[in-house]
Amino acid sequence: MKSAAGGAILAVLALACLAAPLLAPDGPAAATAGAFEAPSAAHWLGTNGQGQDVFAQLVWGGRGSLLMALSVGVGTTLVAVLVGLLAAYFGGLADEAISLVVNIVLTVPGLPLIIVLAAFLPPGPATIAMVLIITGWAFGARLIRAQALSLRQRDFIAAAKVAGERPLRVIAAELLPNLWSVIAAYLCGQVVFALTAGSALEFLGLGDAGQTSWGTMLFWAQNDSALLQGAWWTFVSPGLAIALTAGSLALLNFALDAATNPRLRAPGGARRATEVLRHG
Amino acid sequence: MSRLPRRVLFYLAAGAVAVTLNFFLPRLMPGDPATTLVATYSGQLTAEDLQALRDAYGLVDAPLWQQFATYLSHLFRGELGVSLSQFPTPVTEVIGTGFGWSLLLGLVSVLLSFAIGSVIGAVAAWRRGSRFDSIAPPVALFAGSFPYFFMALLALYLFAVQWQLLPLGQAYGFDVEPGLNAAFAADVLAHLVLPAGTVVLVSIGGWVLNMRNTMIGVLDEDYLLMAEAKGLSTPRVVGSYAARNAILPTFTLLGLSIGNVFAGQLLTEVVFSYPGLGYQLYQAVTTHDYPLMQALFLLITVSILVVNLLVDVAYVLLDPRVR
Amino acid sequence: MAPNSISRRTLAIATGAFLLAGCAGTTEPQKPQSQGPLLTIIAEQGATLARNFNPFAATSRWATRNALYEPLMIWNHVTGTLEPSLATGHTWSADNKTLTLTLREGVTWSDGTPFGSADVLFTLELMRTHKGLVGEAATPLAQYVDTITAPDAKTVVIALREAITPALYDLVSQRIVPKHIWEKVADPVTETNQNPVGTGPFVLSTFRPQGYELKRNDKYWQKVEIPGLRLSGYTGQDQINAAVLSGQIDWGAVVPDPDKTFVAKDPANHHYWWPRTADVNLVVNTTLKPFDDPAVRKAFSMALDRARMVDIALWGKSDVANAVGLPSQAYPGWLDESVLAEGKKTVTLDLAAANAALDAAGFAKGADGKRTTPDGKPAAWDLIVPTGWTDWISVAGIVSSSLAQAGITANVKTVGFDNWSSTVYGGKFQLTLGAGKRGATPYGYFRDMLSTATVKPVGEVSTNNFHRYGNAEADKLLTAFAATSDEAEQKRIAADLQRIYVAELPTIPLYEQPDWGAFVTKRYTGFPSADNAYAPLANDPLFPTTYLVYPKLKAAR
Repeated sequence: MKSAAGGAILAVLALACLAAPLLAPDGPAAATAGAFEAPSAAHWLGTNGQGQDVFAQLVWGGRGSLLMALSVGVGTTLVAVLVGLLAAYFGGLADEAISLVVNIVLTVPGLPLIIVLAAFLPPGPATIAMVLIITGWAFGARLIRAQALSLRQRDFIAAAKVAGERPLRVIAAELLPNLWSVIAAYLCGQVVFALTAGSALEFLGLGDAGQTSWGTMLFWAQNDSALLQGAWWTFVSPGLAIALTAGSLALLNFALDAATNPRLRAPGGARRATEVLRHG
Repeated sequence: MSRLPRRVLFYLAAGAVAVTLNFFLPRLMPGDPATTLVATYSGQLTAEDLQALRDAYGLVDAPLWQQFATYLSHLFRGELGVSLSQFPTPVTEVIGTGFGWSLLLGLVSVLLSFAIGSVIGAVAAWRRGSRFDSIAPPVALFAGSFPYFFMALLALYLFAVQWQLLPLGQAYGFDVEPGLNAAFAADVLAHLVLPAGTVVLVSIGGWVLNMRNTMIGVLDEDYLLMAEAKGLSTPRVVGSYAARNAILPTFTLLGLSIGNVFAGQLLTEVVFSYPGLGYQLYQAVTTHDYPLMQALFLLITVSILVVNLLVDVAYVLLDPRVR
Repeated sequence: MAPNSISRRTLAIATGAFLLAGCAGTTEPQKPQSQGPLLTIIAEQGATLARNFNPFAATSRWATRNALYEPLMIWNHVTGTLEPSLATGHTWSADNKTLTLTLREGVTWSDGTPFGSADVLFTLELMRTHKGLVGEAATPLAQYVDTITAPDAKTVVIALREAITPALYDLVSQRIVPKHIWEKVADPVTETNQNPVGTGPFVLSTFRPQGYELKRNDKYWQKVEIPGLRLSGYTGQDQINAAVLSGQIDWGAVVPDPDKTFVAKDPANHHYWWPRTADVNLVVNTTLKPFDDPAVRKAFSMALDRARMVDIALWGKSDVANAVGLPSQAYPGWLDESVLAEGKKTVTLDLAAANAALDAAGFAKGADGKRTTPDGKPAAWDLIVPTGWTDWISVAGIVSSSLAQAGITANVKTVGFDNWSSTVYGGKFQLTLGAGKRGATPYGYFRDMLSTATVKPVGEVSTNNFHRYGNAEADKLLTAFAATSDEAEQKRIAADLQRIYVAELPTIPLYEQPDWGAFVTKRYTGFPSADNAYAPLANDPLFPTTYLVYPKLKAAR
């Protein structure tokens, strides 16, 4: 039930964004109306301080935001899985070295580093995605390593190794399939993390205000003093869009959590997501 | 075993990395504070003045390795330089004003969300499958998926601007005399409600889930079945047996959260203009105040390392299995 | 071109702002004062303020230059007059090379020591001998001033190396410090001057990291009714707006869409006044092809929808620019109507003319409607604006969509202010926005716009002529302008300068930038306004005009 609700919300949002060229053919930047017009038949969600249609901005902006969040999610997950599995499989000195790097990266304060990095790189979604991947993979690597380590002790892995299977094959065929639920939960958490942290950076003015995304919509709403001028629709629309996306992912994650044995699951996935939400 | 010495070595290595990173990061940033100064006071500064100011600010064009050596030697002597945005106030003085406020806000919000979240999580675990269990944790999680700054701004707008129930920002009002008196304490508390409250709201979900999952693991242990079989009261079983055993891993997380106090509050402090270290860091980044930025980054990293080390030590002392 | 004079946000920072008084939720911000409430001003930024009252430091508190240390004379850019302050008057010698200033009698420092010519002499010499002190007099002292003498306690004589009459305005704006205190200061560059002693109408009474209060200086040389000032640090436009709207502020800067959000809340007491003192321009880098061609600059200009900029970025509260880029209100009598009429069409939206001009300049239009430059490259450039300068970003968006109509691509990029200033002032930009210099006469403006003396090679910092355009004919006119103190003659020269500007269009004027200012008359009245335009309303730290306002403020009945 929870996962179905989460999936449904997510699907509607993603579809609306994909269909942006059909829903809002003029594009997000077209500024033809007056500033801060209330929602009406012509402008379903009103207009913003620049006289742009909020609905058009929402569906177009969602493309950027979701793409950014998804690429960070996939990016961090790939790095985390790769590093975690390598450390777990090879063990010994390799594991020591990798764990040292992971632990050091983990102690570097994330958000402050993100802000410093985002301030000096050219602003834009690509920069934000890159910064979030650089700073965000370490926790996952530790998580995957721990999970993989516990699997490594199991007989079937040991048997495969004894049977002379190549490392890559053991990792791909034996370890990975047993980790899918952990990885999926982690991916969900990372997408939520990227969406909120990325939007937060854009909101702080560290993104590219010239490109439409949910984060820059909030940035503009704030800069045009939208709430003060009573134009709540410019502020609430992108905020709710982010919250709905993150919330439905959290529901999916929760369902994934429940699907796996809570005793097996490391205290990571969902907790990490909310932890990061607070930071991001 | 050699666990502790190894951890200490690790922390030293992490510290060295942080110190190095701390040096190079700000220097990668484009633009420089002196040009900004000229822009602001164009016509009020000549080229010679500008050079003199650059010297006074310590903005030298020496090779990077030389600057690094100077930076290290200053660091060992505890000299963190002067803030550029608040020139010539020493960085330590600037940080001094923010440290206490960050600590207060951080401890209050972490402990509150920990306490509330853990209670909800424990109850949910105990009544696994009940209506409470199927509603409370997802709701707490959903609240946590709202982008923090969005909720914070909305709260600020509603409570401080629209209804004028709570203060707009700062750590205390202009009209109270700072000191050990009830009026000041009440004022500080009133200024804490919005920043701490919003943090609790979004971070509670994690604690709920954590406590619930740990508890469920512990609840399956034999000694609890035993306690129940003995006919002990439910609150007693939950409180004395289950929660106590579930608390150990939770303790680690709590330690880490406290370590993150300085790092994690940046958005809260920015939205609510709370004069802590996170806000100062944001200001330092936007004004290119290298010395302040470096000192804050270092302080934040060191605080995380120190708390991690303390958690490690405490773990060894508390958990006989690790010893 | 001080960028601070324009952006709404920076102005709010610079001119600033604010008072979070009563942030504990009280509506009356002040505790009972013996003589009524303090005047609450929005003028400081930051959650924590450093205690620095050094008038020579860029980082000192707002009150240092606007309430504690006074200048010799005050240039009032609303009335167009030079008002007396510590000096009661000035005279030029016949050759315009010697400036004599007469000082006011009976002025004392707030510690009781009498003020005199020794203090003025000391201040100017201090600035000459210590590099790195920020002040209006820095440039003339370094470039034009020969000797400074004090024949008696009330007279100061400044001899210049050449006749540069506009130097007067910079010299007399310099805030003066007491010799008996500053001669003991070891390093005036790093001094924080925590307990300021000035001649101004107020003295520091309370200082906290979140704000400070000043009380009236009872030894002040003129009558001031307000008992004191209260300043606290604000951290964002939201806080300012909320404080302004809740009635906690007496004197502030910008409020968005003021008729709707501000005046409507309390029409009897909430007022704003936005006189215009400078223009915002689209600045092209004239060292780059094809921006070195005036025909291209004019074609761009004719493609721009200026009316929309005023409507969206300024809530319709300003006017589109004229052809010379000088706001008509700010320079009464200086603008030449025939030149304005002649240039009118270049600053009026006319897409057909813009397209024709681009065709003629060799910008071929492709099948997708986008043009290529005569060199065959895509006609696409980056238009950079500083992050957070919302009115500029919004204007840049309109510039971009206007130019797109003519087949020109301008990609709006927001970059951090530090990044923006080093790129723009270093001459490494393509397109940006800028603002004209405001001053007593159009001299400074045209010097920035047209003089070869202000053109620096690309890579070298130039804060005023960053479009990097110089004109030899304009140089001669500027030299002649500076050498005379006869205003009629200066006006004739200014008309010729305007003619050159219109013919060359070195930058593209967009609209007139308001000088933000708002006030509340619940507690105090007498603020400058459209009906009572005795001084600027803006409390910009770069201009000492706040000293003209304090004596006029009276308690509301």
